[in-house]
Amino acid sequence: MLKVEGLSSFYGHIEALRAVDLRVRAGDITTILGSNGAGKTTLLRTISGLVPARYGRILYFGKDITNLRPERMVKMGISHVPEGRQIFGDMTVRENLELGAYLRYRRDPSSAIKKDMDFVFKLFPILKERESQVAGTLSGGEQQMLAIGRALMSKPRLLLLDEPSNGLAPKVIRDIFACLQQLHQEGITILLVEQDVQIALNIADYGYILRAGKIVLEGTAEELSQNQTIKEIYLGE
Amino acid sequence: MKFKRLVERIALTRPGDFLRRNLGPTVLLIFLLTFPLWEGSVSGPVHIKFLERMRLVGIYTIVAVGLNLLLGYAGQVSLGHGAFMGIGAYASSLLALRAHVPVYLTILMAMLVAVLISLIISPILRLRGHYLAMATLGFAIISFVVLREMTWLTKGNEGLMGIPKLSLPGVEVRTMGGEYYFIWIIAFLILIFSRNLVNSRLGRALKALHHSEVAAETMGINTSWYKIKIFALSAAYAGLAGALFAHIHSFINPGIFQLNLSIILLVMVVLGGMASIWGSIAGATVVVFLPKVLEAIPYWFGNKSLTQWFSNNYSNLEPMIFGIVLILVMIFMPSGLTRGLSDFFRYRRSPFVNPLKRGSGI
Repeated sequence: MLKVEGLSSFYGHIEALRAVDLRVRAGDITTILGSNGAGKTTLLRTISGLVPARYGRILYFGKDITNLRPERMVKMGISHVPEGRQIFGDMTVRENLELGAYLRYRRDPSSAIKKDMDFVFKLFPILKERESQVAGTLSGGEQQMLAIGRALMSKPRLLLLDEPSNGLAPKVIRDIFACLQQLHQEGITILLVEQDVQIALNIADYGYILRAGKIVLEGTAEELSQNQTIKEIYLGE
Repeated sequence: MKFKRLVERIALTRPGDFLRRNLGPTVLLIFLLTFPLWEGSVSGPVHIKFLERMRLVGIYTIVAVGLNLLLGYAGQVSLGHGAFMGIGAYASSLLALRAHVPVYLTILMAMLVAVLISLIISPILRLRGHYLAMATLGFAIISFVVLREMTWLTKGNEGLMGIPKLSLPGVEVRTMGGEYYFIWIIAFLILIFSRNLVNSRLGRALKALHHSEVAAETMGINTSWYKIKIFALSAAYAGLAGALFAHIHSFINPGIFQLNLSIILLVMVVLGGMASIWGSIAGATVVVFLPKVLEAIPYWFGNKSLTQWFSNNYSNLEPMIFGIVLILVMIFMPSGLTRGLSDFFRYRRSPFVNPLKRGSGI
C-alpha cells in the first residue's frame, strides 16, 4: 500500500533520515520503533508532506506521492495524527471533529459525515458526552482520542499515528490501543510510531527499528519480540 | 438546488427568530440609520462634532475588520495596513484626478490595486510571528518612501489636492450626512459579510491555522493559500477605506499613511477585541472619539484655553495617549472591550480576565 524507498530528509544541514526503506501492507498495523531523536516523527511528517524529502520517493498504491502538499495526502486517504495531539483547544469537541472532515465538505453529503461522526462517538463514547465541551478542557487521554477521532473524520485508508501513548496513564494507553485494534479490524491500515516497544509490538503485525535516522532492524512482531538485542536494549531484560 | 434550499430557508424563517438571532446587527443598523437625525441635539452641548467624526469611525471600522480577520482570526500580524490604506487613497485619487474616472469606479480600482500589491508581497506570509511583523513594518516604510519620492506621480510631501468628492452614478455626494450614509452602508455590508465569513467553513479554517499550523495542515487545510487569501481580503478592505478617506478629505499626503497609522489600526483591533467582528467598531470608535472627548472635558468645566492648548498640541500627545490606553487595556481587559464587557454582563464574569488565554500568544 505504502512503499518508501531511500528516503532522506534534512533539517538545515542535519540529516534526520538516511535512506529509509519501508513498506506498509494494506490491512496491517506497521510500527516504527526507536528512542528519542531517532527520526520517527520526521519519518511520519515526511510521509504526510509536512517535511520535504530531499532524496528518495514515497509510493502510495504505486503512485509517486513524494513532496505533495499535505492537503493532497489527506484527499488521497492518508491521515496524520500529529505528535502531542495538537487538537484545537478553543473549539468544541464537535467542531474539532467537523474540521477533520474539512475536505469532504463539498464531496460528501452531510449524512455521510454524520455517519462517520457517529462511528467516532461509538468508538470513543466519552467524546459523545463531551460533544459541546471546549476541547482544551479535556484530559490528556480524551484529547488523544479526539485527535484520533478527528483524523478518522477524513475517512482515511492509511492512518499515521505519532506516539499516541505519549504522556498517558497505562490504563488509558491500553484503552486507546484496544481502539486501534478495533480500527484495524474495520480494515484501516495503520502506521504507528511508538517509543513503548512492548505495547506497540503487542498489536502490530510488522515492525521497524529506527536508530539515528536509519532502519537497523525489521521483522514481524513475533520476530522482533524474540530478538535478543531488542530485549536487551528496549525491553530491559 | 442550493438556491432553492436558500429560498426555502428564508421563507421558513419567522421574522421574530431572525430578529432574535440578529439582535446586535439590527440595533446597530437602526442606530446608524437614525443617528444623523438626532446627533445635532447631542453634538452642541458636549462640544464634539459627532457626524463629522462618525464618518471616520466608519472608515476605520472597515480597515479594523480586515485587520481583525488577519490578526484576530488567522493570527498573522501586519504593521502594513496603514500603507495599504495609503495605496488605496493614492490609487483612487490619482485615477480620479488624472484619468477623470468616476469616483465610484476609482474606489473599486483602489481595492484592486491594494489586492494586487498584497499578492505581490504575499511571500512574506511564510514568515511567522515577530519576523512577519518586521517584514510588514518594512513594507510600510517602503510604501511611505515610495509615495513621498515618486514626486512626478504623487507630488511628494506636497500631497494631492482637490480630490473629487464621493459619487454614485449621476449624483455627487456633497453633504456630510450623505458621506456618512455612503460610508456606513459600505461598512455595514462589510461587517455582515465578515461575520458570515468567520462563521463559515473558511472562518473555521482560519481559527484552526491560528491555533496550530501543523494540525491545520494535517486536516487538509492549505494554510499558506488561506493566509494569502485573508491577507489579500484585508488589503482590499484597507484600500477601500483609504479611498473613502481620500474622497471625503479631498487632500492627502504621504505623512497621513505613515507607520503611525498602522500602529493605530493595530490599537483599534486589540482595543476592540481580537477575533471579534463587532469589536472593530468599538475599537475604531474609541480611537476616533477619545482625543475629542479628552479635548472636550476641560470645555465642559468651562476651561476653554486648556481645550485650545490640547488641540494645538494634540499631534505630540497622540502616541502617548494611545500608548497608555493600549497598556491599560492589555493589562486590565486583555480580551478587548467588547468581549470583556459582554462577558461581564452575560456571565457576570469579571471583564479583567482573558478567557482566550493559552500557552502560545500571537
